[in-house]
Amino acid sequence: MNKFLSRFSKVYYNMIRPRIDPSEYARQKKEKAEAAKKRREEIKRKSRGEDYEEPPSDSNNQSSSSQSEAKQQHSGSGGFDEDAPLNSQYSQQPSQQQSQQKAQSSQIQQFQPFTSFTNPPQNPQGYEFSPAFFEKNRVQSGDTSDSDRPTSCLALSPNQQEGCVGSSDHALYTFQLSSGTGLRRLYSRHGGHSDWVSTVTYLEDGRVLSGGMDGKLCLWRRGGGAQASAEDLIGEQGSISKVSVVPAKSNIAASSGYDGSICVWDLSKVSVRADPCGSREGENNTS
Amino acid sequence: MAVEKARIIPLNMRNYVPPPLQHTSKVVKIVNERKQLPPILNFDISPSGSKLLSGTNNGLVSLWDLGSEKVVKAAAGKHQSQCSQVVAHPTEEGSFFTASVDGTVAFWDTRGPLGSANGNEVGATDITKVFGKRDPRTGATNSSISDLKFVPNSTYVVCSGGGGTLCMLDTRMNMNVVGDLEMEGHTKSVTSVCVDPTGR
Repeated sequence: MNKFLSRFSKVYYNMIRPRIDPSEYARQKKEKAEAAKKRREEIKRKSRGEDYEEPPSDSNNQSSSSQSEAKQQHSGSGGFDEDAPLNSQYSQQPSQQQSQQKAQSSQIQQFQPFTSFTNPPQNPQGYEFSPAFFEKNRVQSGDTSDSDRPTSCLALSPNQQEGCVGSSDHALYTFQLSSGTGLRRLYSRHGGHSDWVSTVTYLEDGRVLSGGMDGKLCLWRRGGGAQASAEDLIGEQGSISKVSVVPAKSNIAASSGYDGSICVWDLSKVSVRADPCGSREGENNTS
Repeated sequence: MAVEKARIIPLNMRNYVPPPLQHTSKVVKIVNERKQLPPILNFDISPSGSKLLSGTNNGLVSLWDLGSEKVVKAAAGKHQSQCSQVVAHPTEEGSFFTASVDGTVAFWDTRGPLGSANGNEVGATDITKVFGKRDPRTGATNSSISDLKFVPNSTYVVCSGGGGTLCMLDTRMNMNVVGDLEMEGHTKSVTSVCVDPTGR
C-alpha cells in the first residue's frame, strides 16, 4: 500500500506541478537576492547616519539597479571620456533588456505556471489530462433518452450493435453503441410497464425482454418503427429483480421475484397478437 | 371534389383496453414449499441450463433444478449479509461463485454434496474473505463486494464496494488472492466491473 501511495503521489505531483522553465527560477532567485542586498545596504547606511538617498520613482526596480551597476562599472573603469561610454552603454543596455524581457515573457506564456487551484489558468496546458482531453474522447450520450429520470439497468445486444437502458419513467430506450444516438422508445399505452423497469436482457434474435417493479415481463417486438408494442407476461410474481435467458435454450427465460419465487418461461409459445389500437395511436401521432 | 373519408372510431372502443393474455407461455413457477424465501436479488444459470443458483436479500443461497422443476436445496448456505452477485462458471458445469456484502466470496460445487468441507459455517465448498485483512478497523461493511466477473482464462475479478479497490482471485489456486494484481485506482466505492472479452 505504501509502495503504491508513494508511486501515485509522484505521478500526481508530476501532473499537477507548475511547469516553469529552470532559467525562470534562476532569474527570480537573482532578483530576490539583489533586493535583499539593497535592503541590507540601506539599513547599514541609516545606522551610520549618512544621508539617505531616495530611490528613483520608477516602478521598474530592474532599470534602477542596472543604472547603478552601470555607474559602478563606469567609475571602476576610470574617468576618461565620460559622455561617450555612458551614452553607448545607455543606448545599448535597454535594447538588450527589452529583448531579454520579451524572451522571458514568451517563456512564461508557453509554460503558463499557475499558483493555486482556486485561480487556474484559462487554458490549462500544464495539465497532462486536461478537461478538453476528456471532452474530446467522450461519446455524446445525451440523445440516448429523452427523460431526466434515473436509469436502472443496461443490456447490450448479442451482435454488439445496440444497447438498451431501462429507466424509472416506465420506458426503455434503445440506442446505437457506435454513435450513442437514440433509436427507439419502448413504451406503449396498452401493454408495457406501469412501474420502474428493473432488468433488461436481449434475446438471441434481437428482441428485448424486460422486467419491472409491477411484476410484469414484457417481450418487445423488433419492428414497428416508432410505435413499440409489447407482449405482457404476468406470472403472479412479486416485483421482478432479474431476468436472464437460459444459455443452452434460447427460447427459455427465467425470472426471479421479490416474493422469493422463480418463474421459467417458454418464449416460443408466446402468441403474436395484433394490437387493436395501434392504428389509432399512429393516426394521432401523424396528425 | 374528393372528400377524405373520416375514420370514425366507435365510442365503445375509445377507452378499450385489451384484456391480459392467458399465460400459456409460462412453464413453471418454482416456489419453496417449506419456507417463504426472502426477496431474490440475483441468480445465474449453469451453461447447460439445468441448474440455477440464487442469492437473496439476507444472504441465503439456494439451488434450483430447472430440469426436474424442483428445488434441490432451498437453503444451501448463508452469507453473513446480502448476496450481491451470483456468477456461474462459463466452462465447468455446475460450479458457481457468489459474492456478498460482508466481503466474502464463496465457491459452490454443486456436483458433489454441499457442505462445510473446510469447517466453515457456510455450506459452500470454499469461502474466502477477500478484503477482510486489509482494513480490520473499518469492518466488513466497508469491504463489501459489489460485483464479480469472470476473466476468460478462469481467473476472475472481484470488485470491492467500500474500499474502492479491485482484486483478482485465482480459481485454480484454491481461490488465493493474486497479490501483485491488486489494483487501487478509485477513491470511492466501485459499483460494477466489466472485463475485456479478449482477456488482455
